Amino acid sequence: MSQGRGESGKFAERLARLASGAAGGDDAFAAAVLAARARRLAAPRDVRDRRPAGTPVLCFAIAQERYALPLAELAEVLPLAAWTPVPGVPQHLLGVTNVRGDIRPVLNLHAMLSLPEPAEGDDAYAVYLRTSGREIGLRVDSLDRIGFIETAGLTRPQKSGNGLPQRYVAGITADTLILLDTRQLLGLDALQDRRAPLHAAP
Amino acid sequence: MTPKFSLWKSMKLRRKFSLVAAMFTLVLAGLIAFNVVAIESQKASTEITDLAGRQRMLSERFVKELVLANSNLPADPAATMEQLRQSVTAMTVGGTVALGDDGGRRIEVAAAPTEEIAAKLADEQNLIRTLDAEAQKYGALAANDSHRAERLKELLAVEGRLTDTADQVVRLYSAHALSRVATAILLQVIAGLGAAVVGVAISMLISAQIADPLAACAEAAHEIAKGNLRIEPLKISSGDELGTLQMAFNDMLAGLRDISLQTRSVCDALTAAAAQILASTQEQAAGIKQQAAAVQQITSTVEEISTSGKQVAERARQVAGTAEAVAASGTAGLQAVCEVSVGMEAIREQAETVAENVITLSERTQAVGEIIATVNDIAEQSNLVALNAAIEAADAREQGRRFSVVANEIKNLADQAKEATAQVRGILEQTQKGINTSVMLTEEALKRVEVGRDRTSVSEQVIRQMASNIQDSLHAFQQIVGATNQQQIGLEQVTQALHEIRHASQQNAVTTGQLEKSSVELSQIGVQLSKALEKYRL
Repeated sequence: MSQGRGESGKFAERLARLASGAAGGDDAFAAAVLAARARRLAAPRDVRDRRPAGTPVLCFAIAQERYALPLAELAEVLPLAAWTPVPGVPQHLLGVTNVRGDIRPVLNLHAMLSLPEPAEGDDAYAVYLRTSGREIGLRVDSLDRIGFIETAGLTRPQKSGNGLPQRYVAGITADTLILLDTRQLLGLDALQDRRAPLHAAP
Repeated sequence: MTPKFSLWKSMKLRRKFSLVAAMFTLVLAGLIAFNVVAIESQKASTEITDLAGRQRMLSERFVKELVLANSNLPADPAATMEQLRQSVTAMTVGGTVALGDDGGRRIEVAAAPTEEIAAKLADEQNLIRTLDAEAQKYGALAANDSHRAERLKELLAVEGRLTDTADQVVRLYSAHALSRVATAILLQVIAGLGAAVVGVAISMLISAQIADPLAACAEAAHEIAKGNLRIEPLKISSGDELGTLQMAFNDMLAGLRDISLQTRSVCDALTAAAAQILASTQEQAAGIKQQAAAVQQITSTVEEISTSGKQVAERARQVAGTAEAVAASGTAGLQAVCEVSVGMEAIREQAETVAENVITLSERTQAVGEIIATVNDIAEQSNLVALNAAIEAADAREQGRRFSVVANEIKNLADQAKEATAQVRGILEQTQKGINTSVMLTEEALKRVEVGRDRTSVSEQVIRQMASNIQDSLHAFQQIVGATNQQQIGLEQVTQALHEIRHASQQNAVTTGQLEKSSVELSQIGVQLSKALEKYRL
């Protein structure tokens, strides 16, 4: 009984210590956040220096692999909630989706790059390319960040070998980020009018 | 069984002997008959010789009577002549002759047996006729005639020749009779010799038939006497008494063999049984010794039991005292257990309150989690907005450059918000796990309190039971004390009985020793009998 009493006393002590400790922790966290904000606010407003060199690109992931597209050729990104398969088209064309009343085609990059299909129910996003006509969506698994890459330091696999998946690859950076070629993506049969020439002039 | 024999061999000995005797009798009778015939013929020869001799006498008488008749004296020469003639004729061709003497005898005469005699008889007939003619001539002369003397002389000469001839005839007849006698003697001798030879042969045959089987029987009997029963059975050589004897002998041999076999097997069984009896007796003796030892051990054990029984009684008294003390402490234990039961109930109620509080905490944590999910969604949308802003800024080229910096800041904030929500979510998950564990532990504690309460009630019952049991034990120990005293008396009786058993066992040992000795003797007798029977070779 005396031991039980000791136990309950220990618990009360711990609770009291916790209340005081939690208040102290809060204070430290708030202090750290405030210090960081102060530093940021105190920094000189030099945008040019803070901006890294290179082409800005949007990084995203397809089946655990990291890919990128130049930011200048993109229209917007949106979550891909649902799409409608279109009969009689190749499997590269996932289907069409409705964005604010506008029907847009969505390409299946998994199929085009010979990657395994994502599981049913996983989150999906659509990256829309800026073209002269309508906007074309690409299905990706997740969005990562805005990056900057030097186009001069890219490794180009077309120079070393050839293959269908490599048709859409513009280059690979040193940290294995794969830059996709928008012109090759848009040159697909399924997206072209039959009377149009196969390869438009760049 | 009985083989087929020839008529002779199957004939009984008595008949054989009778047959031999009959044969000899027949031979003897034949000889006698032969003798009778010979003697009869001798008699006839004698009569004929006599008859022939009478011719001489008759011829002389005829001359005498003739002379007498001429001298006128009473005489009858004609009758004599007639008699002469008749005699000669009868002797020549056979017939009956009257002798003409006083008896008037007549004899039967056979014809002349030989040519010589017949010739002589013919001579005699002629001489008789001549004599008759001379007699007629002499009779015709006158009494005083001168020629009478001459005539008479001539007559006498004829008569003399007739007499000579008659003599010769007599001699011939005699010789004939002698030769016949000699022939008869020779025949008798030959017949006798033949009969003797046949008799000897038959005797030898019979003796061979009798003696050989008898000798074989004697030999076999000798062998059986020596104990050899393995001899071949005798061959049945005939159907007579000897054959019967041989069959009986063979039956006797088979019977003896059977009896010997049975006797030998019985003897073997007897020997084996004797050996078994001996072994059993020895086992029995050993068993009796073991029994005696066991009785000894039992006696000492009973004495030990008696000693320990006294100790048991002493201990039972001590234990009864202890049991009373235990009964007193059982009552105190019962009180303590009741207090424990009350305490358990209080613990249970408190634990239930704790569990309810913890569950309320869990519900609140759930609500915090939902709020966190909403914040996370907002951060996600902010991220997208930031990305789109960056895209728009890129589209605006140089004009959008500064905007792109702002967009980047927004994205950074959105990322930080996402990280923070992820951390909170992790902490919340851990908290939820801890709460779940607490609920489980509290429930477990409740269950244990239930079990403790049950056990306490069981303990209470057990202590009550124990108290009553101790009371029972107390009574039982008192009974044990009483029973041990009775047991002591019983053990003394058992000891007495064991002494008697020991005595009986010793007597038993003596008897078994005698039995063992007798068994050994019986076994030896069996061996002797077996040896005696080994004499018979089967």
